[in-house]
Amino acid sequence: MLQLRQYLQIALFLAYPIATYFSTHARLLGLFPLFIYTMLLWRFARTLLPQQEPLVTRFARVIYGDNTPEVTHYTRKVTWLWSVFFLAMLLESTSLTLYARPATASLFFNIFNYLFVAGMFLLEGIYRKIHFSQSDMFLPLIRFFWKQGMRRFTAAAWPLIGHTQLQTRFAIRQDRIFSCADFLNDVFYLHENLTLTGKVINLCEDRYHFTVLFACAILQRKISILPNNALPFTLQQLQTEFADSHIFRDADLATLLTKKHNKPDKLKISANSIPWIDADQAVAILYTSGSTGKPVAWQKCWGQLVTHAKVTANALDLQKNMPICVIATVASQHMYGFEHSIILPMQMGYTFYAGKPFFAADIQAALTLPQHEIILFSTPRHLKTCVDSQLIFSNTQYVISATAQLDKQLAIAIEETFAAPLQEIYGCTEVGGIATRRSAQDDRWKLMPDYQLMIANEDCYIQTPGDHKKIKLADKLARIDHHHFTLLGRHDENINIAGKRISLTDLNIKLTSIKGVEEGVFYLPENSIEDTRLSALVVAPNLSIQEIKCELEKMLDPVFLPRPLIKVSQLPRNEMGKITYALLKNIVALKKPALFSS
Amino acid sequence: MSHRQTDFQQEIANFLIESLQLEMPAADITPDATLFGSEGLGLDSIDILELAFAIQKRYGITIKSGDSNNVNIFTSLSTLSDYIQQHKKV
Repeated sequence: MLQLRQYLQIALFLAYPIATYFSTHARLLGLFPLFIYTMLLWRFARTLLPQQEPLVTRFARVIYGDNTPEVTHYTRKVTWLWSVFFLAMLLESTSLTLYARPATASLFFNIFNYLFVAGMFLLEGIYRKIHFSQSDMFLPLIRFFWKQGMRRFTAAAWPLIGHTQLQTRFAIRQDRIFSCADFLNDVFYLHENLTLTGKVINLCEDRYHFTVLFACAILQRKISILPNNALPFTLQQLQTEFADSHIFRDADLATLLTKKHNKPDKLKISANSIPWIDADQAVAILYTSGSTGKPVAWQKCWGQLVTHAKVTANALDLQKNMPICVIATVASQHMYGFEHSIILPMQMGYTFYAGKPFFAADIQAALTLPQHEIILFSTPRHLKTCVDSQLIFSNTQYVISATAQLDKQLAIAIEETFAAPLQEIYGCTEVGGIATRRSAQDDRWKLMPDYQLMIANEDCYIQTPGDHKKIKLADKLARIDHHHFTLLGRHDENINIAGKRISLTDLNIKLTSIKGVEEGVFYLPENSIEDTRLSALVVAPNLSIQEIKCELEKMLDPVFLPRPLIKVSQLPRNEMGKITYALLKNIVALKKPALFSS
Repeated sequence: MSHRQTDFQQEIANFLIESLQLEMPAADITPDATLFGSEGLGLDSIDILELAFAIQKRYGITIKSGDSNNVNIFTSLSTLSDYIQQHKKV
């Protein structure tokens, strides 16, 4: 379907010959060139405004795939040149229309002006041939337009980083501060000296290394693979699946960049050197955590990531280019860490902390970074350690938790420990962040701005502004109103024992509702046969197993009572703070014999 | 490189078993065997977090990644014992 603007353009094109044919007024002859040059001037000059990609830069990037600082610098100048040329042509056409004899005007409009345009092309082409030793000046351009038309040039694109000043701090490491200029220089250096032949398995733990490599891969139009873990088994599988992929770790990046630091930066870069990336370019593959079966690959496009980062910032009430430093205790290869500790600071013009603080004391130390308001992205597991450590955490503006739901008590304790508001983010690898809540005050989840929740037959779908199609969630949600929902549980948790159905979530809620039970989780063994019993792990230092069972009997059908019920000091969780089936299985297998003997 | 535990190592072995709820006799932990990963005791990074917290509570030592010898602290029972012995405040 054509848009109104396109209809108007077509109408104008048709109106011109019709009008000149029927009109006896020769001045109308000038309407067509006036219109054309105004359009062209607008098209070109508009892209020279700040935070825009110059049109010729876009041509070079889309057609030649080239966006090195030299080319970016040159193409900006060419965009200027054409803008000035079209302005001159506009003035010329206006003067001819107003003052020249129709015959003279006609000569210019129909012959000379075309020669001027051709001359511009030729001169620029010759200059380019000499300075960039480019052999085919216009062939790729013509071929590209022939095949694809204007579509690729009007498609959305976003800059690599959202910072407006290159001296802004891009990343902080204990011993070093990297400005945006440092970052771009490192990226361009790597881009020039490292030819990626296939997909990049980015295992860098240092967020600065991670981001430099990620950016370089984007410039070379290669997809970054971000696996959940770096176990030999996982990597072997990935390399079998993607035969052309290559693994990069911190040591590789350190070596590559050390070589560079001995050399001075080749080119003086400016904010105009920031490369632009097509919104529909695929940039990363992430995997679902596997707590519901086999890991599933999810490919992410640049536009999707950028749009989501902006929406997240909006939901957290953060403005662009605030003096914010993002600190995260989660890996960059996990969707939560990737979205919030990499893409968010990159796009919103913030600083990020390159390290991944682990112990409570590490987090405390990282928070003392000067001159920044800090947002801490973490998990219930790490935040609980901070609360328990009784250390003092200062200087935090915001604490964010995700990966597992927090209970209200812990949320309140976290807010006290950090003296900052705590926001929880609910999300999944498939979509990214979906909703937020101030857990100490509100149980309801609030959808991110402009996200749509659709519920049909218990299936829940999310439609986001950055995605073309809606995505089905593995969770069950209950809508409260247009913007709010509650989390009910996962679809695959419904269990069936002796013909009776119940969800594991429901069981877990009942277990933890017992006074004195701090945490608890039910476990259903795999390949369950008819008389399989549930097991449960429970953290309840002051209750006996008998007391807990007694309470459970009051709430549950006898078939759902756990056998055995195992008391533990804490629940088994993986690094992301998730309780996975495998971990439960291990512990139940470990505890069972001991329990039977006692 | 001894396979016998010293008195202090024995104390730490008991402390390990206790804080991580491991179901094995403390005497079975070989002083120089790896604690983490699929070999050794198979402890993971979450156990390290728990253990770091337990060490802080019991011995008053705050463990940070920034410490130069941090990588070595949790290598084996003997490295852990040595570290705690050197830094403990109680």
